[in-house]
Amino acid sequence: MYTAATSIVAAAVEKDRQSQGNLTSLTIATALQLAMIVGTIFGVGLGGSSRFFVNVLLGNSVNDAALISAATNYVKIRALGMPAAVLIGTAQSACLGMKDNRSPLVVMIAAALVNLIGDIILVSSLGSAGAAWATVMSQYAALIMFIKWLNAKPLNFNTNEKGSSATRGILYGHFKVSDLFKMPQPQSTGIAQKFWEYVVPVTTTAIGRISGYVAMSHVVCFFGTADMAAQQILLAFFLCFVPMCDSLNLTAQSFVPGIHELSANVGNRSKLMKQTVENFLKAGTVFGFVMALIASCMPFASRVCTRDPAVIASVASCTPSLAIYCALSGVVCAGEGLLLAQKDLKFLKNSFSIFFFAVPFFLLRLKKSVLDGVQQVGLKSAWGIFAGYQVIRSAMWILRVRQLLIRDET
Amino acid sequence: MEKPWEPHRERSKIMGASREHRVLCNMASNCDSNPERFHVGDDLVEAPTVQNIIKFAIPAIGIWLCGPLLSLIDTSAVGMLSGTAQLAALNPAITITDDGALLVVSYVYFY
Repeated sequence: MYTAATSIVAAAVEKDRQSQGNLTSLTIATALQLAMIVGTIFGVGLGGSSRFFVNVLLGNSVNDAALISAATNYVKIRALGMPAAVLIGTAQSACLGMKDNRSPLVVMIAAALVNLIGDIILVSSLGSAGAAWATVMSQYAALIMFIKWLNAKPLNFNTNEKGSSATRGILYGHFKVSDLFKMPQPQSTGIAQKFWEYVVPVTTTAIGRISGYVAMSHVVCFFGTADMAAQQILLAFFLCFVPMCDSLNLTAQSFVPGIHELSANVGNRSKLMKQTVENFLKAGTVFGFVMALIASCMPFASRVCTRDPAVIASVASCTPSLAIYCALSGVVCAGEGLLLAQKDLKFLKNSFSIFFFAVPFFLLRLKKSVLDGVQQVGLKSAWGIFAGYQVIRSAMWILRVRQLLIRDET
Repeated sequence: MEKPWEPHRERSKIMGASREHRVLCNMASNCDSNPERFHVGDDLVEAPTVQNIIKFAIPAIGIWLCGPLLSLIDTSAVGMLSGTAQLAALNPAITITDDGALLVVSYVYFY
């Protein structure tokens, strides 16, 4: 949905630039309506089957009833925020499509503040449920800010031509809050259709990606409470690292397609492409180095999340693997962006199909070891597997990017 | 009157990229002697430099950081204010909500 929003809005802006039309507004409005539908269906589904999902994830591991009900309640409360979450993601992606990557920052900071204040008020009395309520509140706050801002922001086609284009908001006159609760209009069926084309390939990649993480969460439930808590801390930080190299992926996707689509008989294209690839891989290395540095501070950073020495020790034992993972992720993301930008979808699809089975396979072997009573198996082993996965993936992406370059030259 | 849609003539993305790049170049100020330029057809096209890639990428981080940051704040608050058991419960719970969302709407987090 979000990848689709970025590309489709970018195309609409381009078309409007030529014809002074209002396709951008219509596209964004349709995207938001679709987001509302998707978010609502997902929220209802998630809330209704929260107990089922928690039971599946915990499996037959030994955990007390309080933990299970806390997890279930958290999922139920967060389900209420899903429509807002999908809308925010779509609005952000639309901004990217309009090459505006600063406005979402403001919204993000505001949402984080609302969440922080909500947490301080609610968590001490409600525990994890309080955290869920605070998150939902911040999501709706962010959504309100986004819609207000989209209604007010002028769409500038060209930064050099001051005031020549529309000075009203992008969605001004095209979108009301009540429109969120309507189905997309017939004239925008074509736009809705464009979004649908992205569903299958993007969802397939997403499944390939998350299978490892879901398996990890499942296996960790067998390692005991301290490791589960440690995993939550690691994951919370880890997910903050991830976007740092995701942005590289995204950057590759906005710079590279144009170069790739230049007609093939033009001689310098492959030189240009080669230089671009090299620069992206270098940038990936820089990002990876910075992230590995931050990751190696995890033993200290974990102290802002827990006072339990057992949890801190568990986090510290996983830090080397996390650092390896982070160091390589810059190159992995840059490579993935380069491959996506060159529409090498078949290779990516095949690779992720392999990872889909391979990563959970190795993780589930850890679970078996724990159930067999093997000592010295714990969170550390699971993160070791992840580091190995990253090493293999980075090697595969780099080799493939080079292979495409060679193929391009001949 | 609306012009016909002509994708083959539209070099939208390269124009977009190089325009973005030119803006970045103005900011960087030392791009004028950029050796990474190539004549492709009638256009002088520049390969994005490492510096420009990083400059473009950093603001975009905010967009992706939104969700994880909210989860990190939750994790920290629960860990400090509620203790290890509640923190442990967050792990399966957040996996279900966030990975479920990833699956359904494909955030494309690129783990």
